[in-house]
Amino acid sequence: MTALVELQGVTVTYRSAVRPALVDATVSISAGEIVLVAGPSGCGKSTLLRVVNGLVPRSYRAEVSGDVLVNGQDATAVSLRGIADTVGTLLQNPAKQVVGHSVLAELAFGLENRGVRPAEILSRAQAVARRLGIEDLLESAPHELSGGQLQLVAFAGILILEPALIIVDEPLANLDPDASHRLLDAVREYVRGGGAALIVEHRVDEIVALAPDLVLYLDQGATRYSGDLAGFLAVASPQAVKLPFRTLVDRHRSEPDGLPVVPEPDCATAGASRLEFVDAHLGYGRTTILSDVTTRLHAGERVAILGHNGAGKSTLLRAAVGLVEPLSGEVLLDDVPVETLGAKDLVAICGYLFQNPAQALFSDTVAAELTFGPKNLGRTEAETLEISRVALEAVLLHEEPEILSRPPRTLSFGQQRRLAVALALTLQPRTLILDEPTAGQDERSATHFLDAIWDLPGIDSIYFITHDIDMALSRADRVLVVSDGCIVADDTPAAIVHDTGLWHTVVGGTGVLRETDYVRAAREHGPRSGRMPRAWDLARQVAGAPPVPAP
Amino acid sequence: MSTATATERRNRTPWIVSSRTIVFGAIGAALYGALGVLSFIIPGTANVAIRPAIAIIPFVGARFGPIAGFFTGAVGNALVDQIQGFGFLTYWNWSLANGFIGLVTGLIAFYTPEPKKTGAQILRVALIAFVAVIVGLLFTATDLLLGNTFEYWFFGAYIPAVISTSIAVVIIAPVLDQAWKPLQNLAGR
Amino acid sequence: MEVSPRYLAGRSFLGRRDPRVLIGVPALTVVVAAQVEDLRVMAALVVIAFAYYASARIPLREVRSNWTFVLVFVLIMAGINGIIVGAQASATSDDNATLATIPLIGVPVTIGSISYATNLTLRFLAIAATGFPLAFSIRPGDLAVAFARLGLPSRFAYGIDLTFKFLPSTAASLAETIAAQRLRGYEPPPTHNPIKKVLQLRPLMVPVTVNSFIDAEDVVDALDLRGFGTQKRTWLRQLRFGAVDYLVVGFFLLLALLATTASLTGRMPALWIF
Repeated sequence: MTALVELQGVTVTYRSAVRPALVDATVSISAGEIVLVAGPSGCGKSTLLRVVNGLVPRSYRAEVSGDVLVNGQDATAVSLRGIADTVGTLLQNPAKQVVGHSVLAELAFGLENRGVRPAEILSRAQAVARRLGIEDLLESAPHELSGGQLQLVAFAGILILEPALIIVDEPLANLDPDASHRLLDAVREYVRGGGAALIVEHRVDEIVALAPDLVLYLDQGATRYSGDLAGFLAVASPQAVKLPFRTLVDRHRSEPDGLPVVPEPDCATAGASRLEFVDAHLGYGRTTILSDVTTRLHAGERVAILGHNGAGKSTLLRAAVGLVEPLSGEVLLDDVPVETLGAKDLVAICGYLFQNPAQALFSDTVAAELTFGPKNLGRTEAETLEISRVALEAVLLHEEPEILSRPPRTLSFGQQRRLAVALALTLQPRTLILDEPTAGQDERSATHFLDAIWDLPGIDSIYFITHDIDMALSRADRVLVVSDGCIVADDTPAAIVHDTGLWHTVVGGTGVLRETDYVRAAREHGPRSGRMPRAWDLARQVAGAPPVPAP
Repeated sequence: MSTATATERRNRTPWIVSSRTIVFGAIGAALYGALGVLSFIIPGTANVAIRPAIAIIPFVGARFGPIAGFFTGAVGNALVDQIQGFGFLTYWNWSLANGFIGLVTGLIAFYTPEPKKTGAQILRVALIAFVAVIVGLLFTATDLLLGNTFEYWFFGAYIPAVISTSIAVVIIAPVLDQAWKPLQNLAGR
Repeated sequence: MEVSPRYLAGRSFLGRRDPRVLIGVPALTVVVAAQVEDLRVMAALVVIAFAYYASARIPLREVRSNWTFVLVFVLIMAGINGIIVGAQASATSDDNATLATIPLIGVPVTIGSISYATNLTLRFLAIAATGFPLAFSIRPGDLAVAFARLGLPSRFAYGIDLTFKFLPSTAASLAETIAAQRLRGYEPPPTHNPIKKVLQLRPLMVPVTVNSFIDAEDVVDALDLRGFGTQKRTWLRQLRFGAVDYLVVGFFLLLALLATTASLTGRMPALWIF
């Protein structure tokens, strides 16, 4: 059988780059196969994906060597449009992929571009919608949909073109894990029906269930491994990609790292009240998003806020910095109502990191960007320079060559995140609020980033919003779960893990949180109370020692 | 395997239309509409409004070409009229005039090479945008077809529009242009 | 500011029309209004225009603020400016008896200038009345198809759709940037200097603009990967120009022809009716 797409020794160097982004890549995908491409950021997976769908070199200027075959034919002479007849691409962010003003218009888009008759478009759109269970959404506008629905709609927009191969770029990057899994189910169905899929993802633990036929493991453009899943799990770096818990235990057994099993320290003892909600109703205009919030977050605590997309996680913490005003009740920061605090007092207590680090970057250079905040607060030139220096050092950006004179937006995504933290630090707050701090980052950079923040000098408390359940449980002293406009749970990570009513699995359960591989392991092997060890540390414990007995 | 060079092809003529032309023109038009909330009345005047968002038009023209610039100006202005309720035809000629600001900026920018020094780059964009405003808004002389007198158009509409538009455009267009400059090759197209 | 277009016509008479009618009528109204110089004829045109507007059955409460804005705008632009300019325009006319003089600027108010200003105001109203259904009675998405059917190349027509799609996300991005800068202590001091005021907007305009264009690169890929602009495209939404549509447009076309003929043959009634 002819492979749908075949790459033989493909090396890609972008015109604007010196080093190749992809080196000597070889892969072949046939009907009925699932290929997983895994690796950390910058490993070359985006470039590989662009070679397969033809954007490199047709839209992106690059030197390409090696052979690319589509349906057994040399792809050089084939247009982007021609390749698209075989290869469909689901981009990482469905909000950028969905261009129609309604779901139906989105499904029609690709067929309209191919000049298909309206009657045929309509019947095919209805068929695809039925297949994915989104018939009820056909008349909806995309901005009315949840992130998960949007992802399915984007997939439907590709599926309707009946490509033989679908590229799925980081399906689990979506902030709604349940929805991502519905998408993966749809991909599985599609492959069962004779299609093929190329999935790019570094959260390998969640992809294992799809049983990929081939795994390509990339790092810095080079292929580190190419072969079956079992072989990949044996060689993949647990720092670079997220591996199943079972694999972590096996790894500790086969090559022990020799570190001792250290019990988790106790949860931070609660200090003074930092952020207090008294019978607060929070929302915008006439819409209440969270009601009856009464709780205290203390100085010295690391608090994770978990819950569905749109449940009100951001609303809760935005109220802390006055971006949302309480409709009734009170929100107090250091015992003072937030709305009575001047901007300068407010920012000195609480720094807020937005999900998109680039949201506020506007200066010509990093140096100028750093001075904006302190100058607004009326600091002198000398103070400002010193504050900037300290902030940059705290996030470990000071060692980057010529960092101060670089335009902020030319930094890598990870560096921009660090810069955003430094910008918050220049206002010298004691508390940091982080909105989805690991979104868009791979395992290694997320870990390094959080480690750096957790050790920041001068920051005594961190409150963070996340959809990453494993990260929340293994990093926090305390977890708040938000659902249906209320706080439904507020406890230590261990207690949350053992509160079985909070969880649901793929198979069943009605809880609000999706049970992960790590959660099951933590419930089985982790402590009964207090904090939770990280997956890697828990695995070491499981590999070397029997589970901690229940107290 | 040969290398395609989309940008080089694009550089030969300013009139090439790709998906990028359309998307960037549309983004520009949406920005023109959304950033309209930052408009203000010049203190001390009754109704001379400054609309800083208008600087998006020459920015798009200079960076992404005359077609994208025209789209941004014409559709952006029409869009604002649509949302305010006038409908886009009431001031159809002003929408086209805004489009011509983008078109003229794009054309002049295409044929005038970018200087090396930052100061000269800023001056170049400011000058091009200023000329484009003067030329582009001349199209509003079509107000005369609507029965307006020449004096009414020239002193009541054209001159005030040139002044308020120029203030926004000469200041902000170079700022945006400089902000985009280090990013223009980031996408690798 | 509202950031997305609204459809308010329901199943009304105009709500059931082909969108090309809603584009054609205001366009023809502009042609007619531009040529009418007689207050009586203009008044008749205003009545026709408002009858057309009424047939869209746009609920007043939904568009009250829009009408307020339009009326204020019309009164300032056409009314006051009309009197000032009209004074000069009618200075040579016979009917330039000065009724009063505007204090401070010393512009004489004459019958001619009032007549001119009233005419200008009514002209705006007629055009605005046909413009409102254009703004509120075309379903989202229909505008692009209508333009394509009117001959605009389909890539550009689709660009209109894209603009509507980008508008809410751009407005949200601006709101987010304003929030982010406020939390960096951004509180620009009040100033009377317009240049300073524009410069103060840099921390808002630069990130929103730059982010929008960087994000757009992915949208470009999304279009290219689905064959946008590679061949003649079809539209799922089919427009049908029915008999009633022909009648409505035909009526306004007739008005436009009459007005043009009258102008060209010099039979259009004169400027001042008094």
